[in-house]
Amino acid sequence: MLDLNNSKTLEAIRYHAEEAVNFDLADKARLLAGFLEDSLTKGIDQPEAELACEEMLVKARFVALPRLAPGEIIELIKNNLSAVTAMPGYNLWEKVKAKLLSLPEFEERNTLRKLIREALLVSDQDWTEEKIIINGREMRGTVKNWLTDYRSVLGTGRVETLKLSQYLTSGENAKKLSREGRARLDYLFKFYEKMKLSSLELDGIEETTVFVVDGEVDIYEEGITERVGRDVKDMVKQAQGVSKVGEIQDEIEAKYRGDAAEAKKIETEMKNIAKESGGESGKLEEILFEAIPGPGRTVNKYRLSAVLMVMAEGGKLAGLLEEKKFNEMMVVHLKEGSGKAELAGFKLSPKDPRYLSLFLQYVLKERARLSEDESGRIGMKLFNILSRDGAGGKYQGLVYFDLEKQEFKWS
Amino acid sequence: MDKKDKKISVSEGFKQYVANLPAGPEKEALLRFLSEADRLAALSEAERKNELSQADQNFELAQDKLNLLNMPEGERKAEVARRKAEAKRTSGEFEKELDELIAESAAILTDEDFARRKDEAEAMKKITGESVEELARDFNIFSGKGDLPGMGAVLKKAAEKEKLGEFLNYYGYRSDFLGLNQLVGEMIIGDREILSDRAFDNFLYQQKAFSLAQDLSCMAAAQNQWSLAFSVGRKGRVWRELEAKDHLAAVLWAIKKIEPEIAARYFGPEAYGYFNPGEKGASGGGGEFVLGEEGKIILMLNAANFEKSLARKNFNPEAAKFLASAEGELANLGLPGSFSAGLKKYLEERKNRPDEADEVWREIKK
Repeated sequence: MLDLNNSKTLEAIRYHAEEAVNFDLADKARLLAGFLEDSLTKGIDQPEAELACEEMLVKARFVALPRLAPGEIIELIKNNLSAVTAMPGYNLWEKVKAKLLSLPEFEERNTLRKLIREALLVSDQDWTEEKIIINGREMRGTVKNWLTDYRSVLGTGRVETLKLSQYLTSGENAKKLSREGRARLDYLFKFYEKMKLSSLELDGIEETTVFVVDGEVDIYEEGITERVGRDVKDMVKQAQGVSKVGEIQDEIEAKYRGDAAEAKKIETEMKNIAKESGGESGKLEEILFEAIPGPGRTVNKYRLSAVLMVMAEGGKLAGLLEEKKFNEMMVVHLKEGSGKAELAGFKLSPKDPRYLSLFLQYVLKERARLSEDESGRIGMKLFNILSRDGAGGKYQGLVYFDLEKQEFKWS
Repeated sequence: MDKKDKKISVSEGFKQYVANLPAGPEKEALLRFLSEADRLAALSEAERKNELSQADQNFELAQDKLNLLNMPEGERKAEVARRKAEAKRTSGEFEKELDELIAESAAILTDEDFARRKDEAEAMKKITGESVEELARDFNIFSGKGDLPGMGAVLKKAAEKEKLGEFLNYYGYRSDFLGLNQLVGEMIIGDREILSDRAFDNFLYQQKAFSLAQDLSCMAAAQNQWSLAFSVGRKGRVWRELEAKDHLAAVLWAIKKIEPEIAARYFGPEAYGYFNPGEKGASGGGGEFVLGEEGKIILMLNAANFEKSLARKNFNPEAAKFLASAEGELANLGLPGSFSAGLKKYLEERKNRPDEADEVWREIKK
């Protein structure tokens, strides 16, 4: 059992109460209110602690207002309304509206509105520091007194916004108020006006309705229909565009990962190769040479991919074309094919990533007969491994993903 | 041509709307319904009155209501005044009916909606469940009986407790407007074929179910659960599930009215995204919280102000935790790195709290 006379315990409770109020945490507020109610009923010895708990209880109830029973709401508003002035940003109308929305029947909603209206008219809660003069008598600036003045000046029917503004700026009592005092009255009277509406009338119904008319979106709320503007539509497109980028990235990632069964086979081959070679460069080169299809050597694309991966992981792929066997293979290839113009450059700098790319294309596409997409995917994986050591820039762009055709391509 | 010259009557508009629907059972049912309406219109008054079923009469009344609603405000007032004047000339009875009609038009609801709400309020008294599991038990009982008001009452109870999302997750649906529409479609409307002997009854039932979805979405919006808001809308007089772009447009329209400082404090994770329970389901420990397009819109609109709120330690902590976990998505949105850094710093700073805070909260929750 928590001891609320203990200052540390009280400090912790105050922390949670502030969190609930500041961040509008209705669940937290409801639990807190239940706990504080129990504690206050059982009694708290220290008057200061008791007062602090009472204040926290009222604020917690205001946060959890839509969960309260109608009777509790009436009592709260009648006896504690001034507490909301110490809750920055708290919107009493939005809270009451949430409660009204939870009542299925409109008659029930109208009854609650009426009861709140009546509670306000008898509320003795202080609302402004300044006094108010009614019938020549100076009185406290309570909710009840201000509403009495408001009704005597503007009548008991519905009051238009313009009339309300006039009352606030030139009404005998209101014009003497500070800016803060006028803001408080504005808050009170606007809320009171909402309580005058009927849920069965056009401007009183709490539900907001979307109408889709010829592709336009019209929104009906509290008696006013607004058409959603171009700026809103553009922003929606932008947000949906961002989602598409995400979707495309997911697709690319899925393509990059490839088939799970295939990935498993490559992984198994990689383990075998690691065992066979013991990580030695020479042995790995032999395995690679054997895996490249040629006269008398059939294609095992998984083993070929795997050995290239193992070499890349072991840092032995970047300089592969400096090794005699593969250097010669590349020279022959460049002489035979359309790469004659590249030959001189290759001889000068065989470690240039561009030549590694040409070599991989030759091995994977021409010798192993893999498609542009499949070979490109392997190339992308190899270059990504090589990029891990901060060499990213050198290997970037050698393979790319063609968004339109949805496939990997060599540059 | 002047825009006004293009105006057509509501019944013509409804016919055009039906004609433009994609081929399918719903279109066929509505065409049958319209053809029946044309046949009835060709009958004499006495013959027609004799033939019209109660439902058809309601539909005629609803069309008239819609006609009123679709008018610009000035025109509507003039029309109402004209009808009232005419009513005074004829009989007091008509005026009474007209007042009722105006009240119903104002509520943008039909007689069926009023009846549903009345039954819902009754059913609510019978619901004992508090937790999502208990509410689901009640829901299953009502569902077994095909009791729409009962199901509606349970859903509203869940929504009132801000647990509509959790309720949807319980049944394996996403906790957003798509999940809500899916639940309504699969568990409430179910296999009631629009093309059947009871086509019109089923159509009305579907409309009531969508109207319930509207109520639930409005309750969610009032709690800033924007991913659940605006699930359905009206196209013509018919309730329809909203397309994502229209749902998003409505969400953006609504959140633009909210001060960024308030949005920063009051918007929890359910404003930004949804929980997708996945195949395992929420009870199976599966699923993930996903940043929705609603969240992207909120961030695109408010990022600069939110950074200030983070710096002032005035940002909804649950939302901060969720957004920090979606760092990659934030980068895709083009938000500055300082936003993510601000989130991390804020969450780090929140670790400084009163010594007994956690222990005290555990006690309170007991």
